[in-house]
Amino acid sequence: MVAWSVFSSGLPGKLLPYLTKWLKRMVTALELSKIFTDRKRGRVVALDEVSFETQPGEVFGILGVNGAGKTTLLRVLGTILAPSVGDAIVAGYNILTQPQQVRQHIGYLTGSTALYGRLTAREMLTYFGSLYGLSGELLRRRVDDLVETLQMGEFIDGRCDRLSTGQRQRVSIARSIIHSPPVMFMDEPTAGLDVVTSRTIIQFIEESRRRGHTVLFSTHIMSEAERLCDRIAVIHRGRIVAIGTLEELRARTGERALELVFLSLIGEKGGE
Amino acid sequence: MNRTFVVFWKELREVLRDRRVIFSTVISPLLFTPMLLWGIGMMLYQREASARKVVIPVAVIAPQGGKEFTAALEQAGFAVQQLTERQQAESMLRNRQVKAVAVLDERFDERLYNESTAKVLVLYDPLNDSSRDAVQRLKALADRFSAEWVQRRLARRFIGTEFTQPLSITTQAIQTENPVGNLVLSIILPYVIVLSAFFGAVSPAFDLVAGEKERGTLETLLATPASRRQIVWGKFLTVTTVCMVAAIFAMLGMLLAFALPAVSRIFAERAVQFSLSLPTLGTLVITLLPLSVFYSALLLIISTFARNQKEAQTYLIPLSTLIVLPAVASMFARTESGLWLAAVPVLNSAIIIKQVLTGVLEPSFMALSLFISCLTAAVALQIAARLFEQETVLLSS
Repeated sequence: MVAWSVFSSGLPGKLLPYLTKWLKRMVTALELSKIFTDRKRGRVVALDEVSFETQPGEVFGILGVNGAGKTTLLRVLGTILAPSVGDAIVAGYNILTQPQQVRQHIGYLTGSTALYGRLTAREMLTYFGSLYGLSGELLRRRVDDLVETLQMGEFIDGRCDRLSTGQRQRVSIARSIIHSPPVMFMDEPTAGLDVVTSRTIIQFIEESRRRGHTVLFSTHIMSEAERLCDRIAVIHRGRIVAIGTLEELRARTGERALELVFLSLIGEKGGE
Repeated sequence: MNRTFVVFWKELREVLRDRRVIFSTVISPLLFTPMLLWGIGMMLYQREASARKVVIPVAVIAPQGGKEFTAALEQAGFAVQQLTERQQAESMLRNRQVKAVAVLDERFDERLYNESTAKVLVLYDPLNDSSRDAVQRLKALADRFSAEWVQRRLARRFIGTEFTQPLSITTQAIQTENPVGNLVLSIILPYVIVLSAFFGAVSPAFDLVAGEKERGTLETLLATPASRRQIVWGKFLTVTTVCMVAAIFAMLGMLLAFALPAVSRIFAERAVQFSLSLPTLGTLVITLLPLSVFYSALLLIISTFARNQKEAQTYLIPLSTLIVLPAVASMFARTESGLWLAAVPVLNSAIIIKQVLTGVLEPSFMALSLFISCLTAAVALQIAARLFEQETVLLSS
């Protein structure tokens, strides 16, 4: 990875997307940094030279404690925030020069099940479909497909403010994949959800992998990371402290349980 | 469809389903405003009518004579009680047994008949409405009594009443393009329109950005291919539409209210006719457009800057003052105001509405006013758009 970073950082910016596509990397982050200036805390480094890449069909976990920089990383890759330094290619598009194309090719899902309460679930999906450039028969067919796949038939024409949490999360998932994105960013999608609703999300991630989609999935729940992720990046205080498969991380730390692996990697194990 | 319009249609659909907005922009101006004004009009009318009919108890202290004056009082509907002691009269006034006390001059009759001035001191209770009404009626009676005595004195000398009136002025209103009732409308309508346009849009404007931040839906919207400028334009068009709709419904509500005689009587001496032609309505809408754009941008600035709707409400208080003051000033501003008033946002629009209603539209005032309104609206919109680009402002909640 370091070699790739060194190699690609020296490339002219325009060549980077082509090379990334050729190498079949769905997300490539190159020394991304994000610095906020806060009135109370002063200069806050939320991301510190973060570099990694992901393959098609890979579920890539971003594991870190609260405030480690997981959300900021996904927001930067999703072009919601601009990086202070660094660059990234998502689905073949540059986040700095082609932010609109990046957003066109990603699905973004957070743990918040908030929807537009005064719209029906169908209107909500149609709205987001239109924002992604779908229209007419194609949009109608796509909505109908998602209604069937996610079993939303019972409540698709009900107002979103009258849906249960589980139903709302299913609408959220449908909203995020209405345009069939090749890359999914999921920011702690199960945070605050009950077991049944969380299961829907987990099944959805597994289904995405089967379909060959790339999923970037941030979490602080070890069991979820262990079950779902092909590779895991451990992020701590804005820096990636380790990347690898679970076995690689275990071998590196000499620990078996992911919780101990994680604590060892962030240097908190001594506090046990 | 352009993403700006996708956002606009979605926001408009949501706003139209918001009961708070429907109530404040449609139901309240069309139903409650006419009802409220009709109630006030009826109350004032009843009060006036009952004041005319009611027999007012007054006390008269007349040390000598005063019979003619007392008779005139009784004829005018006063229930006269003759007293001799001033102390007793004041006590009755305090106890509200009488509404006023007329203390006649000691040489009242002598002065009256000898072509001098007879004097009457009227005592009243300043804290009592009925007592103040009684004084008004006593003064009116005194004027009539005095005029009658002037005639009698002149007749005694064989002089006609023209002697006391070397000049007489009669006024006659010419036929105007707009009925006189429009003058009455021009006092109240600009005030109602400029306030309704602003306050009607507060709730949707705050819901559209601060509300989205609070609910957590803004982040998902920002992750779509819609650019921030497209999103802010979509929201801005929605708030501008609500401003316009709120102002138009407020105007309709007021016109509906003024069609009731009881309401127009509040502002004029008697029920008046008014009419608004299509060109007049068209000019009103043209005036409303830059005003609505300005309001919409102002409200979006607050909504974007605030972390949640509650915080936005606190910023609204000082801003409301800046809107209400010119709106109130518009009630007192003359239609033919100085050109410098065209540079005062909000007030300039209110004055144009006044001018349109009374048919004295000054082209230079309107041109400058529209220019200033468009300029302030453009500046405010630019600030709102810039603010929407700032990620720290947009993602704070």
